[in-house]
Amino acid sequence: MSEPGGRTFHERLMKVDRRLVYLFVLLALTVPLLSDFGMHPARMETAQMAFDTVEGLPAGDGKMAWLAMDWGPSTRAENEPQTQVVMEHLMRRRIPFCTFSITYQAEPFMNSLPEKVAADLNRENEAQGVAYRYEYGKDWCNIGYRPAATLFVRGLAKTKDVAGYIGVDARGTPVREIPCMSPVRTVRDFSLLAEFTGLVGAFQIWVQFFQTEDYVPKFIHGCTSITIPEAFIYLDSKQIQGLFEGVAGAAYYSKLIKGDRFDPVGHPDLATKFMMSLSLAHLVILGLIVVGNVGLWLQARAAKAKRGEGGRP
Amino acid sequence: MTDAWTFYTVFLGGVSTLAIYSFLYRENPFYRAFEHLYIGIATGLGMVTLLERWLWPKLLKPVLNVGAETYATPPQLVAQGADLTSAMPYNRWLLLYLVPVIFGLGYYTITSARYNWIARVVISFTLGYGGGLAFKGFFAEFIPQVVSSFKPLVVPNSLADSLNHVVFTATLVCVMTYFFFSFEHDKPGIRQASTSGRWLLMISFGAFFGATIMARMSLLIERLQFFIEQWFPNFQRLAGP
Amino acid sequence: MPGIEHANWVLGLLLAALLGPVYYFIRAARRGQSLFVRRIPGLDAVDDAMGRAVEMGRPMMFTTGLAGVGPVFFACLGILKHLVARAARFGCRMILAQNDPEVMAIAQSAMEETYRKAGRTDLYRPEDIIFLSTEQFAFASGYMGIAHREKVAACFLFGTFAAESLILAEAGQQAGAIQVAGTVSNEQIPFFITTCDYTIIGEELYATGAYLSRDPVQTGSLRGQDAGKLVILIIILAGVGLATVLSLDQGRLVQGFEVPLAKWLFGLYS
Repeated sequence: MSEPGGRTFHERLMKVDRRLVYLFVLLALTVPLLSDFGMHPARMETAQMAFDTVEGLPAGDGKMAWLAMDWGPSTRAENEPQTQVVMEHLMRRRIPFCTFSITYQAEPFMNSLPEKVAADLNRENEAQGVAYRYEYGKDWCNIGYRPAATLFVRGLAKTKDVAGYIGVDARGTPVREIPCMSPVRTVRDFSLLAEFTGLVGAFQIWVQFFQTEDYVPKFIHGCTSITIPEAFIYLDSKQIQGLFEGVAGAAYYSKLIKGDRFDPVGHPDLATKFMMSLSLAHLVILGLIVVGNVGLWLQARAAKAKRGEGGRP
Repeated sequence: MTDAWTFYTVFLGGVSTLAIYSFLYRENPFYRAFEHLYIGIATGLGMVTLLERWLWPKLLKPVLNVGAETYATPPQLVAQGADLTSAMPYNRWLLLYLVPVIFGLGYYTITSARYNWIARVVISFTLGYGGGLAFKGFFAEFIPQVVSSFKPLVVPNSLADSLNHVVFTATLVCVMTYFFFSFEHDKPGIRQASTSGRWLLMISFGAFFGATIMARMSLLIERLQFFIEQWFPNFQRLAGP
Repeated sequence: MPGIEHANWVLGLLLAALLGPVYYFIRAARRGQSLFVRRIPGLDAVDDAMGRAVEMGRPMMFTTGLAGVGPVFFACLGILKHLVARAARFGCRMILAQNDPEVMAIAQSAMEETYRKAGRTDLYRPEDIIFLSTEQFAFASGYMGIAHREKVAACFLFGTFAAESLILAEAGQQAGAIQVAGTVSNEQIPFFITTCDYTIIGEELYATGAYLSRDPVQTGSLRGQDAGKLVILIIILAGVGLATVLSLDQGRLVQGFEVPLAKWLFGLYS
């Protein structure tokens, strides 16, 4: 199997420049992003559970959802689509929510993401002739970043006056003056906790402290792919009632809330595009794993043959 | 102004990303320059956040009685619709905030051979309250998990469930055995359980690893999306009418 | 129990069962009683990596990752002191990359003390204890740069890690360093297994710290934790046994809070 240059095929295979591998992966990731071709996402049982949980919340009872956006630019790729679809679902169901984070890097997203979702839905309403307009203060409120994560969350769960405890929102408006927050008194007035993060520690703070002795709100969690196996422990123990497994969970959730309007083949949304890109990259990686293993196998076979020819080295 | 600002921020964002990724080719001065820039920015941002989000609202603002919605305002006055824009009577009890501040500053004595016992008191306090919170956290987080592990090994009319629960319980026992350090794992039964525990751990790490590839790719996709949707169009806008 | 959240007398007993042994064994260790700690294979890897750095005459690098002041850090401190003591003996340079200013202050004083005890204060270089950034990825990028520029021969990654773990380990590998890692961050262990020469898994980190430092608090805690784990294991096995009997008796799936033991033990959480 010797080739020109004196190196055998398997030797060349095992010495492939890692930069070539990076290039393959880069191409696999880029091509789907440039094309407008999408596929239907696979069914995700855990995202379905999250959807059912939000769908099962009563609307118009004065209760709110608490969205903990404990993510920043580093895990934006996975946490943003998850947060976005939950916001869209809550807005469509007219369940007000407030955004909050224990990481300061989330600040720009807490500001821009609900604005974006609201703008999209307002455009849709306009096109359909629906008069309803989604507005800040009425449909959502941004509490912003607060330091001392554990102590803040623990205090929030215990306080009998949430508005007084929080003080002002991210814009400096006293929370008492924000219409959607006015019925909120205690943690019991939050029917849902949706937490999105790549940090296991941040998630655990909510699991441990956002509850009272006799009340735990419904809890759904959006995690990055790294922490999926760990998140299943909490799903098994029913500490969370739904889970977004990385961006795949968001893609399936998007399909659930959009229903008939969901057209991933013709008009793929952000989550679907991400999924296409990921899937192709996974195929490339699987291929590379096979190539690497074939190389190893050939190497071992060649070594065995060499030992057979010349005895023990 | 706004357009120019957007152009330069997006442009710089792309250049920074390319600089950091250039490490994949090899270590180079371009990478090195941005590495230092990144560390500098992160440190600066950290300091500003500390001042703006922590020291100012939590300490200086209430103690100095600054701002309309001062923390000194008694809640009952707010409830009565007090005018928050007018200066409130100063609440002298807020000066007590300085006590924990002085106590915390004791941490800096750690570099002094003579006074570092003060730092030890501060560290002990930190560990103490951390430990106290951990107890509450432990019970709230792990007790439901301990209880959820009460799974019957034989489920009537469901072979799949039975098998599932047997695998679950066996894995739990084997992995826990592996993490006992007070005795040698050389006795029959313990040795097999411990070895199986290690193998089972490796299988779970395989699952973690697979999931993580997805996460790493997602991070890269986000950057690619940035280039496709913002960075390149940025130049088009510049070249446009 | 009034005033104590989530408390009932059973949980009080459980707390005593978990804490009592820790207190007892720490006292025993302090009185000079020798407590057995199983030698884990990772310990050899630590010494091997160090030996290689000494042979090559190149520096070693140690990091506690994102660990703050807490139990994980103190376990790592035991390992760091052991390594620094050996480095002082063999005249090898140790670089400490830091992410947390509080941790850095303690590590700095521990290193200085270790060099002083070894009588090699001439080898102590404060500039080798480098604070990079509290920001996770800025820290990682700084670490990468140092590993390459200093051409480190051995990297020790012991502590708490998150998404930056692979970046750190990849940097060490590219620099050609022999690497030993140990972390309690479960989701990061696979990266260390694939990129490092040896990985100390989960709680083995505490055992490593206790074994190397022989600190009575660490050894005593480790023994006490073992006793606590045994209590939990017994509760789980009792729960599993009871769930099985009940399922067979009632002809349906009975688990979790349906098992009377759970209600009796932790009823408040149901």
